[in-house]
Parts: sequence; structure tokens; C-alpha cells
Amino acid sequence: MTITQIECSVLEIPLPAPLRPAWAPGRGLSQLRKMATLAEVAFKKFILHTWPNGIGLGANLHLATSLPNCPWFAFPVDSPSLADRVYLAQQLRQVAQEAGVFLAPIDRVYRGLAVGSIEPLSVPAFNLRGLTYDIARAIWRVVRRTQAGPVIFELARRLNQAARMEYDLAVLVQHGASTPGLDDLARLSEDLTDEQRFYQARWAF
Amino acid sequence: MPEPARAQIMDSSEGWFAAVLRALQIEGRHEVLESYMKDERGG
Repeated sequence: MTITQIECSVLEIPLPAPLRPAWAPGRGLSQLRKMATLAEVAFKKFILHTWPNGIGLGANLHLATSLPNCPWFAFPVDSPSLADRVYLAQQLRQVAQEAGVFLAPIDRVYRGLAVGSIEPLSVPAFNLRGLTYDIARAIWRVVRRTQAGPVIFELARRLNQAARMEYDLAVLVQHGASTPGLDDLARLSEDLTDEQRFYQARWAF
Repeated sequence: MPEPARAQIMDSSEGWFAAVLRALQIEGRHEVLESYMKDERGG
């Protein structure tokens, strides 16, 4: 197998962005090395990344350290297993409950409204589609400050996320209401997605 | 997302959420939660 015409034409694109080739067993490291040389003469960086296994990581690291135009190396951190996530979510839920934050169904309120035991009341539903923890925390701050009535959080996982992600997101919302929340529990910092934030919390236990 | 940007989003969204709760006139209706949800505590 040789370098394709498409791959060569990419080198002619006048963009400063580095090339980030995906290593695949069919292509082989030798072909990547050729591409890296072509990239070098085109004044482009050539950033390798890998995630298949330890052997693949070792091979790619070997190649990366031999290339003059490969200053970085991308190595994704795998998500915890489903069992780890469930365990983590249970731990987080327990902490939130000990802090006095618990989940509750809204049907009791609706029943009360239906029979007139509660004065007419609107229950807003907030759809959270990103920054779940932060948005929930902002809403909880307002609810707490204004002593507002019940609110509903509607959660949805992305299509490519694993099952039970709704449960994870619910835990994030639950923790958004607690003081301290995950920020203090896990010393979470900047630039984290909801999923990363959730996984980061494992360090709190 | 850098923390300053995240904080800015939170601050601005808080104002929006407060306006929503005010418009729905549910500020000060916390007693509903206290009286109807307390049995759920710990669940």
C-alpha cells in the first residue's frame, strides 16, 4: 500500500494546521513515515495519535520520536468502564444525599395541583443539552436565592454516548444543587466537558 | 472552556433563569417542595 493521492494533495493545502494522520495496521508506520517526510518539506507539523493498545502506542511513540516535525503526541484517555461509571455515580449520589440533596418525582405536585391542594403553579422545565453541571448549578443558585418552587431538568445524552448516561447527568444535576458541589469535591478545573467532569470526579474517592 | 468564560456564561444565565422564575411567579413558592417532597428525602 502506498500513500494515496488524496493524502498527498492534503499537503498542498495552505493551512497552518498540522496533519493528524490516523494510524491503521493496513497503512503501516512506514507509509506514515513517508507522509511525515512530505509534510516536513511542506513545512507542516505531523502529529501522530493512537489508542488501540499498548503495542500500537509503543510503535507510534517510536515513530513520533524519530520525526523532526512531530512535536506533540495525541493520546486519548479512555473512559472508565460501565461498571466504574455506575459505581462512581452511586458514590456521587450518596454524597449528594448526605449533603441533603435528593431526587424526587414531580407527580405529587401535579396531583396536588389537580385536586386543588396547591395553588396554581407553573413548573418550568429546563432542557440541559450541554454544560449540564454548570447550568444546573446556576439554576439551583437562582432557585435557592429566590426560594422558588419546583423546577424540572430535562436531560438527554448524545447519540454516541453509552447507555445510562442519563443517570450520570442526573447525578450532575443533583450535585449542582449541593454545596459544596463537584467543584470542591474533585477540584475540577477548566476546559472539561460534562463527561470529563463526571469522570474527573472519581479522584474525589 | 476556560474558567473565566464558564463563569461568564453562568453569570449571564443566572439572570435569564431568574427572569424566567419571576415571569412564572414561582419565586417564594418553596413551600411546595417542603410540603410535598420531604417524604422523598433519602430516596
